[in-house]
Amino acid sequence: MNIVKLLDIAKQKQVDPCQFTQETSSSFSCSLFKGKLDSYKISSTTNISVKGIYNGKVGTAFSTIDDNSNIDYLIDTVIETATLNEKSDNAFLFEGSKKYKKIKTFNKELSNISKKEKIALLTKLEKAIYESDDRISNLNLTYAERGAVNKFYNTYGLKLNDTSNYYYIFVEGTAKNKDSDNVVSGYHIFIDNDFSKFNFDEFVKTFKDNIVSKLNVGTIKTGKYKVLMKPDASASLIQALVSHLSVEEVVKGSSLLANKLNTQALSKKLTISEKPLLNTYSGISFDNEGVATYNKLLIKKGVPLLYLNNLEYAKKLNTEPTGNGYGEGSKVGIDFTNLFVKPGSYNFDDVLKGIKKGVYITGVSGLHAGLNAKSGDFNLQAEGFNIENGKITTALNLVVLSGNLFDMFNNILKVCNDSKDLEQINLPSILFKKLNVSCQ
Amino acid sequence: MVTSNLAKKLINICLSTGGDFAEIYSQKNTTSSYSMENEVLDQVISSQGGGVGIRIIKGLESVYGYITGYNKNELIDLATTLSLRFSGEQIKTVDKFLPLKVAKGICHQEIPYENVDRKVIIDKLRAGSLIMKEYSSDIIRRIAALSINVIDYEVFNSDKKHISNRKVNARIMANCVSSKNNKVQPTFNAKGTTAGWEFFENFDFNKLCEKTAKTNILMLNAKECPSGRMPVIIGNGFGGVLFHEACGHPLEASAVSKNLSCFSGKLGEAIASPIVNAFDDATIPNAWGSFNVDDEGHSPHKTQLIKNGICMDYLIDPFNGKRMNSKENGTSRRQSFRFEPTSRMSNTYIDNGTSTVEEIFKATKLGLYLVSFNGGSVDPSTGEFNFGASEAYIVRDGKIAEPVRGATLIGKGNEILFNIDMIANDLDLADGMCGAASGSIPVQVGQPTLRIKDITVGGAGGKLE
Repeated sequence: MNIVKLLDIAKQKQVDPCQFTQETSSSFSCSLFKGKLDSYKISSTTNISVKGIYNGKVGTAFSTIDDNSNIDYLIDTVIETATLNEKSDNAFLFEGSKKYKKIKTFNKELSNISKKEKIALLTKLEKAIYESDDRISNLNLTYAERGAVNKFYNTYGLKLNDTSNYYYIFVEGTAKNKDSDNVVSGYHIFIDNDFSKFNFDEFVKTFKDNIVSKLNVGTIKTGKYKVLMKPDASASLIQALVSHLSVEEVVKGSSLLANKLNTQALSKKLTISEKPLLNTYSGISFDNEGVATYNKLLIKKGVPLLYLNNLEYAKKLNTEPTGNGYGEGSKVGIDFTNLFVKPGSYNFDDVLKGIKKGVYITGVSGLHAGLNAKSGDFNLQAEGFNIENGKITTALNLVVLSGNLFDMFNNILKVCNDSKDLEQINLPSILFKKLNVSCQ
Repeated sequence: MVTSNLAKKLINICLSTGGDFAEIYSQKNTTSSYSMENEVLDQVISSQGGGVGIRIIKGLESVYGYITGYNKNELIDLATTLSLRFSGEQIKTVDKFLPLKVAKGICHQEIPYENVDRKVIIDKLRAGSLIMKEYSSDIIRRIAALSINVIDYEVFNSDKKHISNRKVNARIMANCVSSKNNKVQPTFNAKGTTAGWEFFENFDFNKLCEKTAKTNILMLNAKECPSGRMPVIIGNGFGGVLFHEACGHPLEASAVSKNLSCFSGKLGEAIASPIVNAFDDATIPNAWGSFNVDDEGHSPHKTQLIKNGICMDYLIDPFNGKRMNSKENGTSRRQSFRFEPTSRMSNTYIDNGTSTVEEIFKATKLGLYLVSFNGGSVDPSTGEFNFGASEAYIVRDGKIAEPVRGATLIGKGNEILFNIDMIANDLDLADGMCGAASGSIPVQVGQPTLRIKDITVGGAGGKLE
């Protein structure tokens, strides 16, 4: 599509200012089951959005048709939706930030590795995992990769371009002891855009250790326990906690961190930053409103330092935009990426040794139903292990972990030094004072 | 969209290297949504798009690709690239397609949404939002919204089948958030249909909003749910999400065919209590999960999944059916051209039993009554599931007592179904969205009020007393 032509036509039709964004992406994925490829997918897509101000109100239009013949539809739809929009205060579009940091989010080497080699890797992985333990069965392995080019143009002359890519390798499967009907399942994933970072042996070992350790099933009496949480388990809870730093939630009365800036709202052992400017697949140099992102300290030793905003709230509250405007449509939301939880000084094994009776939680699920993101209350399906006299003993495969985010993050006992990179978050294991664990 | 001639050319390219099946799925979609927050319409979305998905199957291997738009050269490139996954002689060619007439009896629209005055829609949303506002001053945020999705699609395949169909899904939503004493409580309710505007003309949205507000305030002021194993009475309608998660997903051929389901190999065997009868029915007129034809061009079915506790059938799409040596039963669904179709649920429910609701409560001395749910998830390979309640009460001496919040049920589907010991006769169905391998699709869940004699409940409220 001729973007200059689109922006000119917008101006002629009195949609001014006007903003055009386009994401062009390609992807490839394949899955292996019992030695055979049972899925092979490729795609090439374009997603376009146009946003503009017409008669003082914001209108938007979306399409997947990347063709000049679609220009009139897009501009006419902006006019139509702006006309219906009842929100007329503070309607504006962003002219642009003074500076944008260049970051490396695209690794061209990824496309130099052929699809054949990627499929061969899956085949080799499958064989290695089966050979690692004969109790493992029903493996399903997936390789997937995606590359995208993002454009952001507006009638102020702003022209932003961004290219990124990533791949992931995912395995799921089951395991059971030969003399038992009890089947356990497990999965493991690695995500990056640098193929050289994939450690084959470590991946096989991690999957195997995680799944077979669940076979030694035990139980626990329902009650409150010290909980040592693996990063994989606490990641989504940390993300839910940080969502309360959205100034929109604060203003609308649904944030439990309202009026808590620069106060001791959480445990002193908790320090969290947001680092969008990482030179990695998840780095991002401008948000969905064209605002330059920057790395920032969010919570320092339990003290929230700032609220995240988008342009609407930055203007309303007369503060600088934080580059956290994400989402499409006339109403942009507030979100974040690349959280870093500062590691502590404790060695994981030493922390474990100090727990006489507790629970090591390695995974949680059901967040979309069991976590009340507004109140912070959660009741989540969880899995993990008993901790008895400083040792990890029997597996707990179906328990409910209950609590409240704020209580939980106000009662941190220890933060370990074993930071782990997960998707858009890096964090260590954390020991919490007391959480409710219900068992079958 | 793709013309018949282009589709023929693409299919023959797909088959040129020995594939035994090829399909072109061409789609055009229009989405409109209107959302107001605190009685101000601040989000109006109108989007148009579409694309094409190409699939080739050879034996038990499937290759799939898609593009946005309909560019002829890009489609030829895509078909060629996909075909190169195989190497062999062409065994099939297609010289023409036989158009298959799609009966429009199950889902049809009397009043198309594009003919509706926007003001009528906006006024309806605003009236409902005001009901929520006026219910309680503790309700600080109200969102009322209507979303309409129209998909026109065509399927051409190497069985010479050509179908054209239109799918319409519209959903009206009421969402409120209340806050008091450092507690925040969200509540969501929605009603969807495959009918036209005539459905919403007669639908009492104000009543839905009042119900949403009432539940919200009840839960805001509720104490925490106790935890432990206990008898649980699950209400009709959305209570059926239990069956959807615990049983429905593990009965999909996508898991069964690979022996990845806890119900794999269980046809003819008991998988539930003998009082359980369950169906998946895509033929319910204008129901949220219904359709006139599935996304591979097959007629929809009403399938009995469980009869008197015995596993009678699975939900089978053609590709996974090959692995199982079983015929498809009209359950192939996908969110859009971006997804390969696979076996999915439509309107899935436990059927009426012989007890009454009163009898079930009378038989429960101490337990929990769950009225409605936020949703849940399942691991089909182990049957482990979870779901969270959005409205729940303690039951004492056969009566509904105080409300409780934050109840989560967990268990294993293949065990919990055996623990259903009473089923009432007040079957109802409710709407939701289900996410799985072929994307997010509209489904209905349902059941009568029933009792599970023993299940694990998670909550922060200590022991049940």
